[in-house]
Amino acid sequence: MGADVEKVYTFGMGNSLVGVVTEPEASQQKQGLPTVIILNSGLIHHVGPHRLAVEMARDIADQGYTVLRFDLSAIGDSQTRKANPSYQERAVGEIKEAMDFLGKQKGSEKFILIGLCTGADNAHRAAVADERVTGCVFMGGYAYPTRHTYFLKLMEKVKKVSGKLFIAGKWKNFIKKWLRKLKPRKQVISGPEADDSYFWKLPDKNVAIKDYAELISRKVHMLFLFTASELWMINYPGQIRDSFPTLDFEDLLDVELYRLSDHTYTFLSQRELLTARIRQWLENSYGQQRLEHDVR
Amino acid sequence: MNPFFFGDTNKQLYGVYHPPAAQQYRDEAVLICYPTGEEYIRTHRVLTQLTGRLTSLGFHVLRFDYYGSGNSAGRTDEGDVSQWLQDIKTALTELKDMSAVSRLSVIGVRFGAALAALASSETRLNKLVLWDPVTDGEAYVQDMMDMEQALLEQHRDRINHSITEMPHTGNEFFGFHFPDAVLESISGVKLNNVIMQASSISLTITEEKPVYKSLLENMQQKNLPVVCNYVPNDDVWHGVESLKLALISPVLLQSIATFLADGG
Repeated sequence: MGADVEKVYTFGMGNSLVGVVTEPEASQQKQGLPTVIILNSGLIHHVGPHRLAVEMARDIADQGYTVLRFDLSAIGDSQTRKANPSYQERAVGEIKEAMDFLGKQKGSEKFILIGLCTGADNAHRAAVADERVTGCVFMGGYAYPTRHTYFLKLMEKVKKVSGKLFIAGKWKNFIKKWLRKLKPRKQVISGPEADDSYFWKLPDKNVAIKDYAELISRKVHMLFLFTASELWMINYPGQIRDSFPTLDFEDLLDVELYRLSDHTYTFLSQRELLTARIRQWLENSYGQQRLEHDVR
Repeated sequence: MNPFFFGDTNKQLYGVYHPPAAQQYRDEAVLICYPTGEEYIRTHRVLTQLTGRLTSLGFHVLRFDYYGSGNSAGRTDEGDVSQWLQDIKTALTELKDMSAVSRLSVIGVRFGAALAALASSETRLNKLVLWDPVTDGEAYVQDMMDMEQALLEQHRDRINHSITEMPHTGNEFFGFHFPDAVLESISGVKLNNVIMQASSISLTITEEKPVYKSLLENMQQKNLPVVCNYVPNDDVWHGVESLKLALISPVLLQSIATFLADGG
């Protein structure tokens, strides 16, 4: 971290939301870049699992971006609200409040949302709902299987137990067992605690097609990051593009599969790869814009 | 509630001050000392809940993050015991200024309890709550090493890779980097050697262990005003599976709140 400046704010309805804004030191500040918002992962407060959100915010600020990490209501340091819409509706509304706040406080007009687990789900919904979002990093977000996904799963299973397949009389049972395992699981992803509000459900694929079509039409850059914990739903980087053959993602889609990492990037080596990848994605997606802006 | 940064501008600390919510304010403020490393993340929610109970009883409360942890400045590998003790001093001063009370009490959890005990040897407190304290830094470090190794092996099995293919610094513990110097400073902490200064001390434990019996006897031998509050709960501190657990115990929170409010 350089000499980034961090300030804490309360904002939103009744000043009930709490967040920390990290800004680059004066010499690193660049005009025209979107402001980055890091969302809660499940019930973990805005520091993030293993302090991931703090490290990420400071690293991104070092690239010249202003970054907010904040707590949704009833999580971490933010207050509980009495209004009672669904968790998803509430989350989208509060993300909008964060954008409104940054618009007033920092003059921000465009935003990048970063979310892990339920944060990815919330980032998706907010991006679809609000045109100010121009980029998203979905960590452990949505993925839909293709035929190739199942083929790779089968190959993996075959590789693991190929020797046993030739034991007389047992191969039929093995194949039956594997075929059962290959059936798609119930696609519900859990947050860190067993609360219905902090689970998310993979949307119907037709809804996802409509949503991504909307994001593509608005030229929203998307970075999908997956780990070994999500291999059951995505097992090759081309799967996102393959699973939506009717959509042309152009150069808006980036996908990375970290086969050595767990869901929350516990191990430091994997976190370094993660932050470097996000840095690279920001440079590729917004660096050129920045250069054009500087030239003018 | 007032979240803010305080302390040295180059080492600013993040804190959240909660004024009393009761009509009757107490002339007493409570500082909450989080655990360090991964346990900080898992106890954040329960300590926020505890804060709510205390403010409803009329206490002023400050929760804060040590340097190099949570929202405070600094990298994770930059804090150590002497820094964290300095942070507690800074936070106590800040809390006293904000609340304008005459009595200060501290609740410390796990290694935060060890730090709170050490801090009390320099600053006399009204009440001190040691919640499942780490009593021996060396054993704690060894426990963390064993758990990290178990986590790594479990992960290796899951990802079906050789352990040698999984880069590991050797000084990381559940996602937090503690260099040798930090581990040495933690290892040097032995609660039995600490002379705590408080009008009343609660050893609040969720499991009965010989180390706690020994600590209690040691404190009694020193004529410290200590009571032991045993509140059985699931073990959320030991073993790799515990890393998935957050501590939820309304009974435990009530026990601590009662001790602070009534002294019993």
